[in-house]
Amino acid sequence: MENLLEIKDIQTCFHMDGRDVRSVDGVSMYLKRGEIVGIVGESGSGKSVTMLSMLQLISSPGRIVGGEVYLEGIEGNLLDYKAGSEMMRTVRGGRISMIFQEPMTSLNPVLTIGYQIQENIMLHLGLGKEDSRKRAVEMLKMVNIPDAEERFDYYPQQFSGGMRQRIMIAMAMSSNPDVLIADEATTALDVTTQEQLLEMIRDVAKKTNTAVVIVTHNLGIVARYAERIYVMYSGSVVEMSDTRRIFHNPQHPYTRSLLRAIPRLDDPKDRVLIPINGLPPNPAERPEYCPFYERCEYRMDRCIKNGKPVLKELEKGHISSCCLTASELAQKEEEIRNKESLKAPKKQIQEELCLEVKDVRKYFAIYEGALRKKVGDIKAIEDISFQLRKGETLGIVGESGCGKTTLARCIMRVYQPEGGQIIFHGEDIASYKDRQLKPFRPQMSMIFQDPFSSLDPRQTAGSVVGESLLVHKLVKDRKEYDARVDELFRIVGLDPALKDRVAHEFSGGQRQRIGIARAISSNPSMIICDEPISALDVSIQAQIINLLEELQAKLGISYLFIAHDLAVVKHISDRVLVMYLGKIVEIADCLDLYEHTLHPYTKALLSAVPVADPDVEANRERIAIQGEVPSIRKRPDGCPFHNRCPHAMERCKKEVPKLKTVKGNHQAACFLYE
Amino acid sequence: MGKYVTKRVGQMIVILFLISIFIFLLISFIPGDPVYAMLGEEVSAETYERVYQELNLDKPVVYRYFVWLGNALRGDFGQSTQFHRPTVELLMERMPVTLYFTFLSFFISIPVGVLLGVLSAVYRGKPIDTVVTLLANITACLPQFWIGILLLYVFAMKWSLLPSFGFTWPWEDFGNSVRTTIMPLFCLAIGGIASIARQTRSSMLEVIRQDYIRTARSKGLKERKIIFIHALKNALIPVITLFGMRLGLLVGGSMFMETVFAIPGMGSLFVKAITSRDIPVVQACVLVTALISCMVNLITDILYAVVDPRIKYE
Repeated sequence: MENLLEIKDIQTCFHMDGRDVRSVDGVSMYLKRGEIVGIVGESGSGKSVTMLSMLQLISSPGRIVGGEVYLEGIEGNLLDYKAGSEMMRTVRGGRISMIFQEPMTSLNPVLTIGYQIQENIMLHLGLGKEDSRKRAVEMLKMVNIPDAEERFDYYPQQFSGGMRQRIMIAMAMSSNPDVLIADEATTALDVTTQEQLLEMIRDVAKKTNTAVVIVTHNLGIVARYAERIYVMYSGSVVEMSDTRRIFHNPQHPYTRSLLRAIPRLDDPKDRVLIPINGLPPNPAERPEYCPFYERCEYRMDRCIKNGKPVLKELEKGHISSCCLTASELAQKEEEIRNKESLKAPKKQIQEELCLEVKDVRKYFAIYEGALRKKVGDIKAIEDISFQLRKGETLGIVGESGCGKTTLARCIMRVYQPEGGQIIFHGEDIASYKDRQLKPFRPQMSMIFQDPFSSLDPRQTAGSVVGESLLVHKLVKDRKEYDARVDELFRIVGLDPALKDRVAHEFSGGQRQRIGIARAISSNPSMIICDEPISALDVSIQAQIINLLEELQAKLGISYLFIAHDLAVVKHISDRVLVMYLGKIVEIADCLDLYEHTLHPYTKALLSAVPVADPDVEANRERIAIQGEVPSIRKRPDGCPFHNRCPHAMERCKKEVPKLKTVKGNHQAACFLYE
Repeated sequence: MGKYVTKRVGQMIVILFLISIFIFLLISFIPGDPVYAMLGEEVSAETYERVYQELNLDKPVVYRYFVWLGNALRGDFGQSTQFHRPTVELLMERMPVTLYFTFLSFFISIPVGVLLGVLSAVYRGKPIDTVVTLLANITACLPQFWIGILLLYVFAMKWSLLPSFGFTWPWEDFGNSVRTTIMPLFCLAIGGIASIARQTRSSMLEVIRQDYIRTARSKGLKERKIIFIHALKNALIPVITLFGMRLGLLVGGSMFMETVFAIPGMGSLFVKAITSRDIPVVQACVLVTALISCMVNLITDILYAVVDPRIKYE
């Protein structure tokens, strides 16, 4: 066998509602020693289930119904061994290790991390207690856990998310596996931490000649780290090739559409995202023909008749499953390009200010002891000043815990800020009482991150959208109410006939549309979008971004767009504000910020975001950033960024830099520019 | 850890102090004359006056409380009005029997209940799970004294296999001890086994679904190790709360058992003291019961900290 690992035609069913749902529908893959392979696909495409099936980690109601797995050095098909058999247990953890998505829940909370790593070493390397402890400490050192000996006896909850994921890597690598599977291993982490971890995985894997499988939905990550890529859609592999060809010469319509739909950090400002219409098919009702047919722009009548397309080798090392021939695809591509008259909607930014925030501070008191005595403050946000013009979009970026959401809540006056002014349409509302705020409430609204939990599960979609019409008495009678709700549904691209349904009957993208309809129902002049698309699948994100841009052009709304995805922020924003540990470090016009970055933190942040293009990736200047974001409770003295900054000077440790105008509209808080 | 225990012990002392006030006041407010209760209605005026003075009934209630508390702390709960013996002596005689039953049934029900719960969770949907769940549900609905009476009827009256009353310490006569203990012990333990098994089963099922169990599986660990080290330690956390509650219930349950099986324990003493208005004994019994409950809660909390490291560091 020339390959280290071969998977052939794996099929996995989940028994749901009395029938078998095929969530993996015949997937074949191979892996060579020391190779880094990426598997990309949206949620539900079967990428994780394929990996779990290979290791027989599928639990009820799931069941592997067919397929073969071959691993170098092992006689016969691995799936013929029982899940709990000696052989499977040596393979699992010993030959093939896995790192999972949620670092917060993937480690056992009642066992020390040392024990959990040691256990793996003792089992697979057969070392004694002392030796395995020594090796576990070595592994912890390798993944840069400071004070490894001492922290050996710590419990998982004493570490941050990024640290826990390092510990997972240490554990997975401790048995010298041949294959490491990283199943969305960095999805829940901040970009700078994500970069550090993936770099580490790559370095370790190359040093030990371990093959790595990166399972992710993020095309940027595979462009940066993978050598070969499998693209999965609806339970099947639709295309496989080396990374360069996948990004520069994609053959399958799904891959092509996906690349057109995602915003990239190196996009020109006026690029139009072309969303993939519709939704992936429900695996229970997957058609007999090509599963992408319904959403495919290239489709021909032939596709329906031919049954499910098989993977064909187009050229050496490039396979794709599409019914169309190369010339047909090229012809369709031409048609689509000519059709693409979709223009970015024109928006008008007025000089008049919609919102002005001056020196806003919000502290949270810390109480301690039996008498709940106040012992100090957490300075969540400090000295926040910025302006938002009418019709403008201001992007707010920063890693988790930097105070983005606190700021949004202060502006919405969910929180009462400790100081400063919030001037909304010329009136300072920072210290207004609830009753005084009432006339302002319909003028600002919010779109939330999680479309699943931010809608009342028992309220119909219609009443969710119409509620504020009633609260603010914006309609006269029932007839006007109904008409307005219908209109709102149509504006966000939903069928008004759906308004009697409740939240769980909608898909994630549809729910976010309901959230948007709710936000615009009271004719607000400003909407705060708090990570509105980060919970959505990549092919749906473009739909929502385009909708938000369209609405802004039509209704002249100002957006405060909070996000951690810098590519999306670049796409949608006119100006961008970067926050770090509760302070603004840089504000600039969008292009200015991305092209003439000033603050070292912004530079590091931008460099950490992977771009979905392997050539761009290869030539980018990279600024490695050390450590993790410190807890807001332990904000360093002086410049909050000084202990991670490559340019830190003596002065940075003592003085706090003020936000100063460097050039034109470009402000930064850094001593380098004084 | 030491700090945590000290803190919890401090809280316990405060609670016991409050309970003692409560007990004393409650008894003082009960209508009826304690002198008559002690000496009967036909007492002469001089004797009445003397006893009235002796019991400090002419002093304010606060004074009486502190006198009582001072004596109680020195181990003197006064004379039992019905047995005319020091209350402490009575307690020393009766309490070991009750504690013997309580702790024996407690330490039987924990391992048996946990094991049955784990088995039925691991073999979810299989025959063993069905049997365990069914039995646990049935027993949880039946009152203990009813089971006791049923056992008495079958084993003592119909088949004459076991004695229907009495109690012997195992070191006095082991065979007889087993025969007198087995039925009341079964009645006391069965409820605990049922509820611990049910709680363990549901909490195991919850834990088995967690990501870290998948991690443990992905490491290739043996299933037995996954269940008993990775899963059970987590699953036990909610069950420990139940241990404490069960022990509290057992103290109460022993009253029924001692009455049904005529066992000379604290429970039957307590019941008798209440019906004959034997105030010193009632006070002592309530205080001792409260002390036991507090101790149990303390042990439960310490066990928590041992099993769940998250508590220690919060």
